[in-house]
Amino acid sequence: MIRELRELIAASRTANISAPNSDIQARTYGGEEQRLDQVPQLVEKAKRGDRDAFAELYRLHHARIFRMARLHLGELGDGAEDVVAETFLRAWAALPRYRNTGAPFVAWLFGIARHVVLDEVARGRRVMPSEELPERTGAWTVDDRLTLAQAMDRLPAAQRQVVELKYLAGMRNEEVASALGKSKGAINAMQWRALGMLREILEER
Amino acid sequence: MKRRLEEDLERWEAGLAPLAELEERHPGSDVHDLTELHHRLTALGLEATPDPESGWQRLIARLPEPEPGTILVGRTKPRHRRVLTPRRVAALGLAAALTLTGGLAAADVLPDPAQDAVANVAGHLGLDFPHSSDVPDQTSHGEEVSNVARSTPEEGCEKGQAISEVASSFAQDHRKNDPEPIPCEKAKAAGAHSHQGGTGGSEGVGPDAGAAHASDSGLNHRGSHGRPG
Repeated sequence: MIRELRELIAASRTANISAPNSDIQARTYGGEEQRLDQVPQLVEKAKRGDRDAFAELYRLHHARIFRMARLHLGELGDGAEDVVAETFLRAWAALPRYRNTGAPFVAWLFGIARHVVLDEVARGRRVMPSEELPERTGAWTVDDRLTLAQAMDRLPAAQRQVVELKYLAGMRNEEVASALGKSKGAINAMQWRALGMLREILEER
Repeated sequence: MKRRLEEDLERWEAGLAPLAELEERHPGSDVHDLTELHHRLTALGLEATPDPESGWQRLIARLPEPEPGTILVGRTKPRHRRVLTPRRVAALGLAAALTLTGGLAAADVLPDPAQDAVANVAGHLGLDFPHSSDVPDQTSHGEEVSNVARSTPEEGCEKGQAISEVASSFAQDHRKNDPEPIPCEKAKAAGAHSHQGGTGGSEGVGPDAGAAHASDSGLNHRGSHGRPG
């Protein structure tokens, strides 16, 4: 079995089968891996009131929270940036009560950001999607984002968390598995089931 | 979603299988739609975002100072209730048994073998517990006194003196400073004199004088207070 697997891997390398995400992942994580390793230490310092450590946490997670906010608010203006600011303000206030349960810090931030987004939506900051179907150009339009955000809200919590950590927070499946205390195989399965459900939800619309 | 399709998509994402192979193995639009959604979501995570520095500069002005005196760290250790595990119960029982045994040994009321064993162990620990041979057999001595009191044919002062002699036989040390017992003859003379003087006897004269004196010997004898029958 192992021999067959090795032969298969060797054959795929010889045939130069493209790994669809290898380049993307390299670009996404290459420069940040070392800094992300420092997150637990930065969190401990920030809990003691260290603003420099909190600033570093902000820089490391800004893009992730911004994308999540933009996905839900469908706005490219200050709305998403306001969500990021409010998320980190609440995080600063709540840090003394933060307990490392093994889940990544970004998952805790996503939890805060979700509440902030709900508050923003309740205040009418969200742009409603248009009735017309957008053109499938490949790029994400505002309507696309809002539709996807609504679809993600209908996912089971565990699957939504996997999608957020993998696609919005930019974590690899191994990292998501480690962070959530599950096997890589389980995360793979949850990822593709979540995508299957998203596809069905999006087709209903 | 079929497990087989999940596994193949996993292999495709890892670069171990070409898309054409998956589409061949799974006819229909599933593979195409799922891989496209995966690509679009991945692209979503790569979209450009604003420079975080400008946002931080705006945010830092709004960050409140930590309140002075606020403990910023959470509770370090969870509180645990003490649970009586079998091991703790056994340890507590052993401690109680040792305390009780030590107390009884100190009071010298254990049976002789147990008293000697405890005294030996305590001696190793630097404690001075009495051995069974260190103290007289007070019970048998009391019975002896009682028997003399019941069986002696003598009466009056002589009976009391006989009982007193038996009773005081184990209390020589205590009697070192006591005055010599008043011989019966002397007591009779003293009694006669006191009767003549009308002051009443107070020197242990009479049938119970010996027994009373025996009880003053400093020993707390069980059965030594029995009146002669």
